[in-house]
Amino acid sequence: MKNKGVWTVIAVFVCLMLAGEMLVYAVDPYSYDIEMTDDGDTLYYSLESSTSADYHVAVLSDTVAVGGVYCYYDSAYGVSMITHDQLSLMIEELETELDVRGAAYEGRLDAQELAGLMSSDLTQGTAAEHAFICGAGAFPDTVYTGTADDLLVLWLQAGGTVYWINGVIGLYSADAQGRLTAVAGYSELLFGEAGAVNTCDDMEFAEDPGNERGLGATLSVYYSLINNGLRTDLPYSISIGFEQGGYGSVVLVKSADGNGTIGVFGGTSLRGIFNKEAPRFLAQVVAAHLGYSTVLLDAVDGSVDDSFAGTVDLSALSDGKAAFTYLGDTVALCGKYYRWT
Amino acid sequence: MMEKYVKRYWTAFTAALAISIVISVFLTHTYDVSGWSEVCNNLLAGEGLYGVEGYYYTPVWGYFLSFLLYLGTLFGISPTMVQQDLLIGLENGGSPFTSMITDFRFVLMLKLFMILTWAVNAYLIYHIVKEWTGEPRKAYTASGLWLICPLTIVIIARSAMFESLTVMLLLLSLILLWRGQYFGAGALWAMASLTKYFPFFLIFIFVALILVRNRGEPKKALRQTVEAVVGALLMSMVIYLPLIIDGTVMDSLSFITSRVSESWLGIYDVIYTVSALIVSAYVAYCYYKRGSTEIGSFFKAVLTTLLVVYFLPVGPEQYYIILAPFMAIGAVLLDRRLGTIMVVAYSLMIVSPLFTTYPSDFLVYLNAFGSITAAPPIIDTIVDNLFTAAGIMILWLSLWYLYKGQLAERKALKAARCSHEE
Repeated sequence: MKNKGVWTVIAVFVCLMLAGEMLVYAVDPYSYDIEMTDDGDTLYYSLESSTSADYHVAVLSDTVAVGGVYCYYDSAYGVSMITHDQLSLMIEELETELDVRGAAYEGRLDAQELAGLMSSDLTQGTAAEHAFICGAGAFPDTVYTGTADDLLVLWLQAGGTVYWINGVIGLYSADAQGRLTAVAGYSELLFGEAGAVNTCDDMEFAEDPGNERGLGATLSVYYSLINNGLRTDLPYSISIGFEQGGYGSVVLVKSADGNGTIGVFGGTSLRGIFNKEAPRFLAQVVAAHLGYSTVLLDAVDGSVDDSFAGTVDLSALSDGKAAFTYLGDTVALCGKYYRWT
Repeated sequence: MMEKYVKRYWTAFTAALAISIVISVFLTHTYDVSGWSEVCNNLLAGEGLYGVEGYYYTPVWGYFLSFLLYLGTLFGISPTMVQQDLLIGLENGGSPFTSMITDFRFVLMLKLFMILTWAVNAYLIYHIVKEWTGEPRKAYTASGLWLICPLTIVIIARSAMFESLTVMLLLLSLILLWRGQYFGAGALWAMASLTKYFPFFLIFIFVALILVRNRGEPKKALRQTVEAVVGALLMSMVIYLPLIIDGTVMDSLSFITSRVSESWLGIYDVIYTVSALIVSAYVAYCYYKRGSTEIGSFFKAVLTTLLVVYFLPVGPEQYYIILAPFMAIGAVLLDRRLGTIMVVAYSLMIVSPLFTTYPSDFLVYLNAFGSITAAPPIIDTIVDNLFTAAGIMILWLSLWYLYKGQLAERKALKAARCSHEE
């Protein structure tokens, strides 16, 4: 052997690479867990973390859709602002992020299944227990054509929740042939007044904190795109992101004539372009079950290494019915929603 | 008694190391380091390298990150990244900064790893030149040029970019290739190319060396080429097998494919890459036709290939680090003016990275600035890009110096032929 030094360098660095590869694919040395219970007056949380990690506990009022959340995806139906491939990628990513946060995710629904869910909810009175995410830029015509007796409109009135990203909400109705039909009066239909949505398609970023930014910051929702976002002065709304010129990046608002929640993220979710974190922040909002009237009642944070147990005094928080706890920060390592009666 | 140049070498090493460590501790590039932190957080969450957004490169650097992450967790160091409301204005898509503040200890660990590869590279350059020339003074000079390369120091110390790792793997491949250990050379070339793709362009010239060494012995040439190919394929399989099983091979190429899909930049990249491949193949062909097994002849072709690849802007300044050790070796092997070109060009190229450097999290801990209450100024990128462009143009001089003699010879030959005909 001509030179031991060279071979030592090769051996060391190849071994380091292989060790790293093993850690990614063969061994998973990292584990995180969150448990929560309560006795009516106190919330008990215990955290386990195989690494040093930040934790956040948010005690919330008026959370929504505890029965489960779905994602609308139908490759036959038209899309806007995004291609089917991009949408599929985004949903894949979103599903992973929801899974990390322990969200009550029930899976994808196509246009027919979505209509089925809404019909069933309307029959059984369970609309308030469900939410669905729409990133397609258009609602399918099985639930939305732009009239007051559309399933979507009735379902929202009955308390359903929709989380939206990509384009102007309600502007398009999509059919099974892949076509889009523009809907006149969509803003009045969904929000009860005209001009609720920022129709600008160019990217616009905001810097000023929304009126409920404390809630957004506690959930590490750092999302600032406001094109296609909602107005922040809509009645019964919370703006948990950032705002500029009267529009917010993440706004949750009460639907027209009813008790449903419409949560809108501005901008687009296109993978790899600027707001690549959109699925992460969307997942955080969904996993925490935020609705238009959710209030952050108390927040606890700190750092955990190995394990930690803590409590939150609930006696003074009469409206408190739920808590969302997560490990990590902008990138969550693990999350859990807990609701008590 | 230690020679004077050896003393100078160690002085340069100590000074460069000290500067690297000072920059590492006090300054950072929030955009890149938060990217590494994001990748590591995804690993912690069990999403692997490509499960969610964050990692856009081929997997080798990700594997090293994975190892470093594990090492850090053993010492209680985590890739904590916290965003700041006050800095959210930086998240506007065009900013070289981010609102993310990444844990200082974690970032320092990555930077120290890169500093380690930088030091190893100095050793490898020394080793290569000593083995090839037998002259320690030249070996120290080439290694010293690498050590004082300003761009390398700044990039490693402010953002822990992994070009230095690519350089190391490529130099190891070159050492084995020259020694005739083709299996290992192929394996390390593959590893280098799968770290950052620039070493890929050397494939033609590496094969040409085998052919030149075996002129008139096609069977031997074929056997040695197959050895190198098997080495490269085996290493690629080791690196890529989990991705093939996972179905994430295309995700690992998004660094390249996302650029291709981006309008004019994509068209430029495709045309430029194809052109560089064609010219690289042509350089290898010329070397095969007229070159010899003498190291100067081979190395001139290697350096020419890289100068062709880096002839026009190929991306951020850090990409040019891969050329640096070859310029340093070329300075002692081919033309000493290459050393001057290298130092001047790479000094100009640090202007842009310095414009996007920010106080590190460590200064926030120290409360040196009170707290982060203001976004850093976004400086007009035209100004700093002018410095980078000037650096690239100065690198062009290398080709002139390398081929000036040959051009003069041809001219003289042509003149002689003309006068003979008259």
